[in-house]
Amino acid sequence: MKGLLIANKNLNMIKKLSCGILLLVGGNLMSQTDSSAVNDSQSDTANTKFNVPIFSTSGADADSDTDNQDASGLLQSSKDVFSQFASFQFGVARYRMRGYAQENQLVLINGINVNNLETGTSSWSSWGGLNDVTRFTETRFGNGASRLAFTGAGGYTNIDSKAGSFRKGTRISYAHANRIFSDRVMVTHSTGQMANGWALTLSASTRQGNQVYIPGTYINANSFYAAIDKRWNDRHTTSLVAFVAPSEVGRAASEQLEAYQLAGTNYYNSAWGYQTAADGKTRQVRNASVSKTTRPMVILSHVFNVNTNTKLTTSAFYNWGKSSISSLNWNNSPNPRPDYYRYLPSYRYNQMEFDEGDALTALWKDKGVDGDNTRQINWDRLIAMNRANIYSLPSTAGTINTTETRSRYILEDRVEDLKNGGLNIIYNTRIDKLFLSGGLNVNIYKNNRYKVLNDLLGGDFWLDYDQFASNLGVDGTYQQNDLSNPDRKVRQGEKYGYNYTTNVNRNEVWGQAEYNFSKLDVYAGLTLSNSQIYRTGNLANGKFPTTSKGNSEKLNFFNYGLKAGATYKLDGRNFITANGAFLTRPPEVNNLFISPRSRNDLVKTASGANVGSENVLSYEISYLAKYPTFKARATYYNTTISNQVWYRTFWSDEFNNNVNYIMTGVNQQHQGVEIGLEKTLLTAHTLQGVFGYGNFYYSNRPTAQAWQDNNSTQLFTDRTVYLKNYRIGGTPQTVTGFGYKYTGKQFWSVGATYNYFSQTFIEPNPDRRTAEAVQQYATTDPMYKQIVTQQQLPNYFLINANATKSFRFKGKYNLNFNLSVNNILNNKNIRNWGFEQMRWNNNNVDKFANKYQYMPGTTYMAMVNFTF
Amino acid sequence: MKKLILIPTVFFTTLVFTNCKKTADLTPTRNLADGTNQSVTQLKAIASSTNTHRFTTENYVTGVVIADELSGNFYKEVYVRDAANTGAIHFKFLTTGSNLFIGDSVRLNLKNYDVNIDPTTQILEIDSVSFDKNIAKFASGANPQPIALTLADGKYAANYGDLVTINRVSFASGFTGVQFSDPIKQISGNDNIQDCFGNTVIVRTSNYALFGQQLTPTGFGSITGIATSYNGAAQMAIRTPNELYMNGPSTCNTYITKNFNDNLIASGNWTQVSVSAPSVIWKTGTFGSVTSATISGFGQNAENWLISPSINLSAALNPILAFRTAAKYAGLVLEVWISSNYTSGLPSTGTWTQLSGFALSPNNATSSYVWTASGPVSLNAFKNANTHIAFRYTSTTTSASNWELDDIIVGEN
Repeated sequence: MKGLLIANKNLNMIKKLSCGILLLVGGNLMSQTDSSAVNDSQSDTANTKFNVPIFSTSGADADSDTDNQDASGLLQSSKDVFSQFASFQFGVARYRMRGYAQENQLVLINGINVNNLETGTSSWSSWGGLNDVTRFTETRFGNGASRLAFTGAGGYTNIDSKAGSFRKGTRISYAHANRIFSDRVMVTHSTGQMANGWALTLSASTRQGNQVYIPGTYINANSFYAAIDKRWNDRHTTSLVAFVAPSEVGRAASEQLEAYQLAGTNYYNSAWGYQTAADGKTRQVRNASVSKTTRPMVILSHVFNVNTNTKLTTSAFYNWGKSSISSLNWNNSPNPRPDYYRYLPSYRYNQMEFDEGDALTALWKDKGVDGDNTRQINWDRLIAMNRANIYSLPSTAGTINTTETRSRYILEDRVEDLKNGGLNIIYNTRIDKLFLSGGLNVNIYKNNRYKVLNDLLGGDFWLDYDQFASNLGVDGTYQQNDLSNPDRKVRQGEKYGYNYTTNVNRNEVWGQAEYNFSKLDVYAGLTLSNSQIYRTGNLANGKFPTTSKGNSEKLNFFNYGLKAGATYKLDGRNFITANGAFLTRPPEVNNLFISPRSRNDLVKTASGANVGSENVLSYEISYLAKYPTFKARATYYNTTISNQVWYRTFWSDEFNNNVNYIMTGVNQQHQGVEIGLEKTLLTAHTLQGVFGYGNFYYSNRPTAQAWQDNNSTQLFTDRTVYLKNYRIGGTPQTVTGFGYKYTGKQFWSVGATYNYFSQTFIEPNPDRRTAEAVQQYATTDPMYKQIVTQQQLPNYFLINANATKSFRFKGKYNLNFNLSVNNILNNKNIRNWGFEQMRWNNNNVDKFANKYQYMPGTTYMAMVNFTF
Repeated sequence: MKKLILIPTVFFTTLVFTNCKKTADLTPTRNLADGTNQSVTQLKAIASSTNTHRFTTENYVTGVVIADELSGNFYKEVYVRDAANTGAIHFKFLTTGSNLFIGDSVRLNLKNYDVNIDPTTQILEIDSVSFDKNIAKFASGANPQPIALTLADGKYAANYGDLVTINRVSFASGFTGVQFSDPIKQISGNDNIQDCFGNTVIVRTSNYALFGQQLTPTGFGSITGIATSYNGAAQMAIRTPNELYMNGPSTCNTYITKNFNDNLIASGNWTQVSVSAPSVIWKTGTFGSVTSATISGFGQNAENWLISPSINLSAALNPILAFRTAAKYAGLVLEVWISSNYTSGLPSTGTWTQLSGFALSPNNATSSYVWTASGPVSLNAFKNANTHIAFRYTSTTTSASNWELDDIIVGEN
């Protein structure tokens, strides 16, 4: 323990001196949601890119990549000790290697880029649960060469899931855990390459869990995979891969500290409530925030070995299907969310309404039905209020409607319906010491977003109005969501609200040359691409009758990338590598439009021009040592991502309206040092140590503009955001880990790790860092510091352990047991994530306090698998 | 191998040391030093009821909140006493919910605001203040104390807008035990309080006040609130009924009162003794609505004593004398004397001590009957069984003031 303390002390010292350092192979990492960027206009939370719903785990629980986020299972093939820690040990802390967002790392399946063309993120949920057939990955983190695609600062992961890549055999596994799912079954059978040239692999899995760790959450996820290869001859192989992973996940919300304290648990979740079942007695748990995904993918590939040195891979793919997130919506009624700020005692106490505050406090703490109905969604009340709302259509106001009730509350699905197809060609050839790679890909991407009425909650219809626009125009058409179908009564299962498609047509050619000298390996790569991006409005709405329907201006982003690197071999065991890349890329598509749900208008910069491409400049220098019993890597990296667009929609107290808040020209800087060491003693003992010092921050003062969401009023433009040197939130920036593993002779092992996390920051709300926000304050006022100071979360450590035991009999059957336990000390007071609400009040910052999530206490996963 | 490890170690250590942690951006604020801090006195010199002043540069007023919206008796407004303690100012807001409470220290940036003295209320005010954008609450927990006064001491009007405690008052007949206001019929309350001399102030209570249905107290004591006025009539807006300590005996605890409203000088066993110029005597007279005693020694060398009946102060706790005067023309001042052994006849038959330390109406060439409250004058040194108070008027042939005297009281403080 003393050693650990010293390590932490050193860490602090380095902190003061600050920034720099090194790399290598790497893992993937990011566990972000796939940013199904549903901007919730009634919610003031940050958008989904930072608002990860259920945080899934990593660590030993690496297989539980439930929601769209956890990718850590992919790192199994990585030999790099730092990457191993980053995924298996640090993932639970939401550690993002080098602070990168997911868009910086390419994810490939059989060489096909599956990063979302709109957001750059990769949808891990699309193949969640297919661990058996996605475990064979080639991963390289950071800048470097790739023979499959042009890759940037975050490197790439390629999942090889062709049938012919799997050995003959059957694998059955069962896992029991207490985190996201409670039970998982996976079955995989592969024929291997058969004599007739065919190979077939089938896999299926199911993951089930109901309120396993966090109340109200659940998972019901299944997956199916089929792949078939036909090897025609030595030169031609054709592969077909198809998979689908339908999943349904009840999510958890982030909460204010006050809510956690009142509820008496750090795992309080406001997203669910009780609903009385049809029998009138049973109270059933129902979650209002459910994500559903069913996105099949089919890949047809042909590998042509032109000769022993040349290979041509041609693939066509199609990826389609829906993902959705459900949410409550309401009209002319109180907010149904139990954690709405006015329902918290602090709101009353702040107004010095002590009696009301005390009463609310008592209700929040109540352990009976009243408490449940205070802390959780009161479904029965919502349904009762809907049934009681005998309300006429506005056009027949004054007449009593005795046959139908208009829902005050509904549950809606915000759907993304994707159609994404493409063609991908990769050419590789070796000419002596020169290795050339090149490729070309064509992608046509259409993502249709709309809302579907999931449940009328006891009412008979919902009117297709924009309730935020209903009091704006004298003209009754102003509030219509669909002018061609005014005053429509929406029934269960019908589409309504907004309906638009984002289109991305992307073409890319790339090339790379690698050359090996005796002491030096070098490579260089180039990419050129063109992306045509536009929005197609499928409905004309009353707010923007002329600009909501049809195609927007078609934006063309011509992008390029350059990269180069070298490895200098000091001797056979010591290497120095240097890599660098510069590339440009289009901004996130949804950020290009002022209000993508309702109109075609484009975001312009302060000078009136269209938004330009983002730029990424990245370089790194590493030292590597590889001895039989000793491995080391040290890397210094430095990445600048500039000219980004940042977009949120939220309720602004300043303007008393829903506001689209857009920053242009956002730059961020990621730099740091990674060190990983591994030493094996007496064969059986393995010691590991890693240290990652990072400094991830915003590096300039972006310009902000804001628009009223429901009409074309620009609220302000050219407002300077004093964001420079604010730290990027959501990940520990400095991590330290120590591991020890003992490997026994009879196929068993035990291990433990100690991990220390520091420099975790809350993602800042840019609006609080503007001169306008603090105009009434002097720098000496306490309010000033409260508004502008970025919060840092407390440091913490985790101790994890795992054990494995394998039996082999008859030379054919393998039985493996694996047990892993995370957070052995059961520390339930670790806040590993938080954000500042976008809605805020400059007189009382705590009125809309920061929201947080707590890391679970002790979690475990016990797994047995049988292969034959 | 060691050498090989040494090289990169040095290399990376250098990198670490060359990068330094950067401090977060500082969002700019207004520089207070560039502006002027205005006191209420200064603001009153700049603005008046007929002159609205708009600030176009950085100016600030800093103070502590003395009345907030909590009780509902104040709505979209707070009253603030300035930091220099020179007076109070009224902030009127566009919306409710300022989250400013009594004891909060606030600073308002006056730029682009109009400051004036409201002609109706005579209170210094700023209208349409945006508390979100222009008020900074930089501290809280101050405990601003009310200014203690009585209705007779003439200080009330000078403190309009400020927090005051009026001592020695009770709700007037017909206004005791009634609702402060009527939130059901939506009627604001106008309830008179009065002191022992009949000076009154209207306690004005909004029909939105949360305490509106509480009943006014029936006793005698002190009341605390914001001193206001309406078209020249003094009013008071209380913050909460909890600041009314009016549970004392329901009548004024007085030994003698004399207000001349009966048009008699001698009633109540008062006597007057002319030492010289017997024609110069106290008479009653009514001027405007006030009936008082009046005396004039124009062109005469006069001395007249108006002497109270004997008062038994032997058991008194904290006796005081109060009265009020109005004077015109330059001359000798009215003197007040006290004796513990006088019985009757000429004043010289007793031993007298002159009282001092109280204000009198100005009597000079330009003065013209300005009623001025005098006292309370402590009589603690004179707690005797046979106490007489006397008002001694003197004039010369060349210098004589006219004096009016009214509302004489000897009572417990």
